[in-house]
Amino acid sequence: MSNTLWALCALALSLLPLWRLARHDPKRLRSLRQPTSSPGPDRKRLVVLLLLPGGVLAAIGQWPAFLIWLGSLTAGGWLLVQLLAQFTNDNSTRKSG
Amino acid sequence: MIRLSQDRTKTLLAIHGWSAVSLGLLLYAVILTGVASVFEKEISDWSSPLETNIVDPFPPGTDAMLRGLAATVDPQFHEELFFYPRAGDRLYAFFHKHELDEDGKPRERGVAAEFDPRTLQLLDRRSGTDEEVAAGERASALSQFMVDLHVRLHLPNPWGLLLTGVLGLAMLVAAVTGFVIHRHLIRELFTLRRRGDKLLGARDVHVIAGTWNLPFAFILAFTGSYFSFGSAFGFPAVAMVAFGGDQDAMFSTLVGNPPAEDASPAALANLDAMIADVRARSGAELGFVQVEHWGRADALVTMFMKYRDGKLLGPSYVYGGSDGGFRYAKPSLGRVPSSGSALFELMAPLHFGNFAGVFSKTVWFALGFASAYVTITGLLLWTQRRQAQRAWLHLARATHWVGYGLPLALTLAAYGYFPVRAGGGEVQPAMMTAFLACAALAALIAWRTPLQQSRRYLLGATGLALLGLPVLRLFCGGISWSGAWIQGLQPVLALDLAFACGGLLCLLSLRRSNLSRSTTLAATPP
Repeated sequence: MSNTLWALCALALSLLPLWRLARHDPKRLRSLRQPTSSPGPDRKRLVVLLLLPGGVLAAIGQWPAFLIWLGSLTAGGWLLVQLLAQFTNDNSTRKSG
Repeated sequence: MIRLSQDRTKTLLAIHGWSAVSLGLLLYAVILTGVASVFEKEISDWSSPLETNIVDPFPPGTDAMLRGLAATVDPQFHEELFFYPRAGDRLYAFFHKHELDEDGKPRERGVAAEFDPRTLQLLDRRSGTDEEVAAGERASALSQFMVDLHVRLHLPNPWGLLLTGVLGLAMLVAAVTGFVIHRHLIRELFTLRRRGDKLLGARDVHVIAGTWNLPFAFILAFTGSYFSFGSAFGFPAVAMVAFGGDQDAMFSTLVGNPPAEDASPAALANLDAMIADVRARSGAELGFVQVEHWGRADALVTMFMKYRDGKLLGPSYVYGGSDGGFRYAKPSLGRVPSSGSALFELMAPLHFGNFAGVFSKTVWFALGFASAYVTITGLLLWTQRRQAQRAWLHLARATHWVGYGLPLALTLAAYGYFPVRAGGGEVQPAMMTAFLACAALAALIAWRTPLQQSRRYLLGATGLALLGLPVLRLFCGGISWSGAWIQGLQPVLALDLAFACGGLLCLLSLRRSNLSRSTTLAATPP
């Protein structure tokens, strides 16, 4: 399997827990004055699931794929936060309008 | 979470802010040009493609082509040759000798040539010192303009390298202190408040981008400082201490290929055969070839390979020049693998992100963009917090000037390049003139108009300039989109599309900020 394929598979596996972590983040929800779900998802387990694909890549010595996975995850995480904030902002603007 | 006393937090905040404020604008310039430089090869392929896609930049016949060039070059320049593909996969070759300049610094002097790998015809030939040869460069000039700005801010050596090295250290300091002072870093990883207090929103935008980008800010700052200080200070210092100032002797020793001197004449073996052998032996693509002592019995040919799939490190292959026989495979430093050599080799892929083709480059581009965003939002936050103090207004204006004016000036450098190249003129002065004229105009706008308005003007102009780039390329004799599609010139199509999308994004973000401004105004009671 090529670098790209390894990295894409790992990234796909990490994006789901990242999305759930972002969606249900209690601090983010509190800042939006939205109710935090109780009981929320097990964040520790989600963090483990988030990082696991990278750990596997490192363990099997796929270092180029590991770097691409880490870089995509951090850039993707940043983009996700921006999009969530934008989406929330648009929604509240529409409601107030 | 890292717990700090209030005094210590204040001290770290001051270090974080002042290290960024004093060098932030230059750091932003270095990072932004670094972002563009990630696609250096693609930009040069886009700006100067050959008519068709090149399948093999080292085709059979390379040997005869280089022998033909060697026959026309003064034998004193046979001391060393390197050849590798450049813009549009033209094969670039440089026969040269090593000498010292007036200040005692090492430099190269010789004859450079560019060949079309399809026809093996000579396209261009220049002679002089390495700097003179680079100054006459045309095909790769546009990407080289960005790279020179990134590497040394177009300042003479070693001052430019020293400055960019210091900027890399400032980035490290800002990253470390930023990590320590923003104690709620991990908890606030997903918290970005866009409504309400503007200052809080600006702080969130800066901290969120900085937090997500932290691992790569360390990596890029460290490796960048290493490259700048290594060539400006590190290597000369080691040569001074251990080799009496002789950098050539130092490199020979470190690289581990000290030539066993034998100056008796001997014809070079067939390079085509060596290239075929190294491809079969390594299973990797050839990237760069160095020939030491062309035409002598002690000639050595070193083949440097591109990254193998799944690997960040790999050996180079050394052949005997006179018999063409394979001698040994070696790491970058020394003759046997070592941790030091591995660390040395890791610096390049970690900094350039070029180890897995366009995919890894795209990721590095995004990470570099995030670093530039962190720098400029940090400066905007600093000036926004002090907007009541008139003295800081100049920094706010300078931040707008560089933040929004630099992307415009970089784009307009291409507007200097294409028409002058099509007309056969000197491209380097044209690009610099366009860049500086645009920078001056951007300064005028930043200091003469209100901040919000200057942002709109500069961002709007950047959007239009980016949208116009593909049109300009076509008007100046560039290959058409259908031609590029048929000939498989993907970089031409991809970059035309990327510039158009970048331009649209600039204009859309402008429209968006105008809309949100008018919404705010409408919501404000009279």
